[in-house]
Amino acid sequence: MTSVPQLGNGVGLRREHFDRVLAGPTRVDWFEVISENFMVNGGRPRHVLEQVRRDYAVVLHGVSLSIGSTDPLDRGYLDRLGALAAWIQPAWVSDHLCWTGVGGHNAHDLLPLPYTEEALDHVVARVAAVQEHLGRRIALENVSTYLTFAGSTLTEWEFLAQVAVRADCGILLDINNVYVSAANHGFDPKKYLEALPAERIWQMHLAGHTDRGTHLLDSHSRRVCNEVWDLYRFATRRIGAVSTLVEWDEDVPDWDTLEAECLRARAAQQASLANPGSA
Amino acid sequence: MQRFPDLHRVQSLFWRLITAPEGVGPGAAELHRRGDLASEDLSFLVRPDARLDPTERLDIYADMYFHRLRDCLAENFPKVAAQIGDAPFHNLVTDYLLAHPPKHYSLRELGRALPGFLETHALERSFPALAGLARLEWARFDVFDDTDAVPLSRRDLLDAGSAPETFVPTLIPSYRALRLDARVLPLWKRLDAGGDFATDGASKSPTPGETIGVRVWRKGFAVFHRSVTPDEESCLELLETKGASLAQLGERLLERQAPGTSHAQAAQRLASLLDLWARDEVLTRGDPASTPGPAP
Repeated sequence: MTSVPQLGNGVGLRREHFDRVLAGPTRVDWFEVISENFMVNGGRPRHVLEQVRRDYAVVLHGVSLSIGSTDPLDRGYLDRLGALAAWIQPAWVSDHLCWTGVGGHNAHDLLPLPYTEEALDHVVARVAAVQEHLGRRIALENVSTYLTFAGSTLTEWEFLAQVAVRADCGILLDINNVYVSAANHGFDPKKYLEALPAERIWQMHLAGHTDRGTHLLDSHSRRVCNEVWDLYRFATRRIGAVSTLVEWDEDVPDWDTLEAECLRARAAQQASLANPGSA
Repeated sequence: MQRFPDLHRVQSLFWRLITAPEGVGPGAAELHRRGDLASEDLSFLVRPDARLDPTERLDIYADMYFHRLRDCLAENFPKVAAQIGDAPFHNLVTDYLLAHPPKHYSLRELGRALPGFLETHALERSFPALAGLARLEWARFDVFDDTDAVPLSRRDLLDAGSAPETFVPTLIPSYRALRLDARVLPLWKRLDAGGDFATDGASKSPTPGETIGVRVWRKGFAVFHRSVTPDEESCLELLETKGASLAQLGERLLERQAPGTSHAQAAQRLASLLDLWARDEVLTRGDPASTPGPAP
């Protein structure tokens, strides 16, 4: 498989920070943007993205590919995504290992898949079709989940690893999502990380979550918690230096706070790589 | 115990349960009543555990579905939400999502049908002009990221004065023409004093049933709206439909003026409108392929 560039440490580009980012310079290495937010005809969002792309690497991160849905692939969506990619020349394109709608509907949420052989075959075939349509390989992100399907016969990490290997795609490893799902379902998050094919992990995500008492919710509304930082250090020691991005989508902080979180990820990664035996 | 279904059935059931208006439990009961589920017990689908039963776990997704979409609509229609208050807005969103479940890949499109939906909704009786308010909010949102165009400047229009029969401007893509309940603009002003719009009808007390023309446009990256006079509205309609030469616009104005209006007066009015449109940057060059012939 071809390798992807190591972009360093980035953040999600959000409109609250457009002015600050354009005013430049910043201390982040790259930006990730929500693809659908820029599948528009004109106006400020596209102008900002064009300006940002001149100075930074950009990754397109989608939320509506619905790779696991039993609905037909949305060719119009793929055409639009392909046109956006052709225009902005991202380092790569990613989306989520989930489904977002069925029957022509779109929940605009990242819904869980049953981890079955049937779902695995279905997703693998669709990833191949998407990669062929786009003319590029994509990365898929593990999502936070709040239930376990009664019919699942594979673990989540087995399912993710097999999708990546069989479909020849990348993995966007969301460390916070691993932590959230582990807490919600009672598995060992380190066992999850150890089971993944390291060479297929193109990128990592870090984010904050909310404790709802009965479950953890992937809210992207606060700083990364200490337990997730620990898991990130563990992942880095096992996987090596991988492009890492901090997501913060709710209660978006000022730029300095977000940038500091990004720099913390850089320091954590460097420390883990320099001291591979450290806790 | 029912068998675990195939992937399509899993997703269909999941969708129907998380979008059930009263929540997953009542949704499962309804599916059972219809014969779509053998029982209301969802443990054949979702594993129960000590913390949450299957219904409660699915309810997490039902809550996320509704709240994400409600928040999106509240962001797209802040004045509608402010005008009616939290609980009625919550109920409006519930009604709207049942009638117009999201289908587009982008959340941007979620609210497109809301203004039309409001026209026949009971809230319109409690809050007059609410549908018009929603139409104005949607139009402003819709032009924000519409196609860019190079606007015609005053210099361009002055130069075009030498070829009034063949120079055919058209309206920029990020322009919308609305005909609204005349109470909408005063309501807007009350809800948003000091906003970034010009209005010349806000001080009047419109009568029920009275409507006015309003144009919405984007200048650079800023969005504006303003009411239009009948003759301006008529010219803009001509421009929007098929583009129009300056000569055709002049003739349209002559038709719209009071009897006895001279060509010179109509030309003067056109000059003032062109000046206004250039300042607002609502005109762009028309597609040469669609250039109409000389006015008959």
